[in-house]
Amino acid sequence: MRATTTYVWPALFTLAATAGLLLALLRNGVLEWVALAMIAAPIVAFAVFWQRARKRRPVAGRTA
Amino acid sequence: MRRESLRRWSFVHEWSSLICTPFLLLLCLTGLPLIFHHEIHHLTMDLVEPATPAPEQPANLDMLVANSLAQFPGKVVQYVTWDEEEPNVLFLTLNSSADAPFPESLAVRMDAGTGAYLDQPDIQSGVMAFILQLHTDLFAGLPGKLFLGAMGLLFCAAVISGIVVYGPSMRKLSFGDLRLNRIRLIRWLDLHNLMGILLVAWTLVVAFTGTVNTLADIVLQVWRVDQLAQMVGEHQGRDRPETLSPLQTAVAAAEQNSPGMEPSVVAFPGTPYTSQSHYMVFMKGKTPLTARLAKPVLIDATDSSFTDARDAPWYVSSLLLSQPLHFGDYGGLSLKLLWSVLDIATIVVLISGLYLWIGRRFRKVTRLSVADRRDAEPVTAQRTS
Repeated sequence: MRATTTYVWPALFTLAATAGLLLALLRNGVLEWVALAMIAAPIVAFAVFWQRARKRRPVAGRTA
Repeated sequence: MRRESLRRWSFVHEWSSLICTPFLLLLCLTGLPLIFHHEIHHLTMDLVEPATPAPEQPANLDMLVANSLAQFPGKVVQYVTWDEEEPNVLFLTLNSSADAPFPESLAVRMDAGTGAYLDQPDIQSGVMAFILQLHTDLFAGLPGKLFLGAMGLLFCAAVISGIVVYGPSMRKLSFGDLRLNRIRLIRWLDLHNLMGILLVAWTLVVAFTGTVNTLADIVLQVWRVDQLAQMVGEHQGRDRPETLSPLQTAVAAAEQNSPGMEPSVVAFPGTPYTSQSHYMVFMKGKTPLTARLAKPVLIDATDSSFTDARDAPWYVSSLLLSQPLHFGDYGGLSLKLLWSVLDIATIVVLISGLYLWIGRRFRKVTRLSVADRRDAEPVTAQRTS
């Protein structure tokens, strides 16, 4: 299960960003915004994971 | 994955990254303002705006050329360029002679509607020109470009090997785990791994297209001896006409032979993109994708008659298509902003990689707990299944 999440999520983000980069070349109305969202997906994902990790971090001190 | 194989991939990742990181940092830092070069030019230069509303009929091109030369006596026109971002402006490149080098040229802005001279922005000097040259060739001409191209390829190798070592290094973690409660080295390791793997598509595309762009001079040379020589054919060796035929009729002849297309650049006779006796009109399509491609149309500069037209060869089309994917200028300001965020994120990946290498080499490991020491080690030093 862990191996699946390790490889599948990065593959999905990579595919989405690649498709977004190519789709944006068409500059076609709504599709353009879809493309921009796909290119932005990795940044949004990082922000989400960062926020989640910050919330989980214990307030007092660090543990080894 | 076998331990020996993993060790090899880890070696490739470590050393390809280390060698290219200083140059990639330079490229990312200089690339950041270049994403917004158009906006920066408009903010920093006191540019004269074209007349509004623009006349329905564009100005006669010959009148426009004459008006520009009247401002700069003794100069000749090398190129006329239609700019997609400023449709009411035509750019003229003037120089002391048709074959004079580009760095000595003047870029002149003309009102496409009225044909009036607007201004001559100094784009060959200043901070942005310095940044551009540092980014493209490190002030070393073609060797500098090729060197940066090699660094781009090394960066591609670093990204691909990074994908390979990412899996084993994440075997005890879920995707997106950031251990912010651990020592700094582990926090940076998780940040590097997550950001690196999320940015794979963008970094590979920008690095590869950047490498393709470094070959632009070579592509031009190959095109000159290949397609241009075939197009000029029997007219090779003819002298430049005393008086050039009207540019307006030359462009009209090119438009007539390329239905559904519009001119993007005209190279005047004697410039590197054409013969001594022909205009080369580069036509482009009207859709967002075909507008990035160019179809060369050769027009005789003695009588504005059509000589030849070809579709650009694959290597020229590849270069032209790689440019927007590298510059990020094909989706308006929103894409440019996104490009800058991704550029900054890449800088973070590069710096975190450097920090990890220094930290692992020089940190006093005796001060670390057993768990921290184990988790901060490179993946090849950990037990693999």
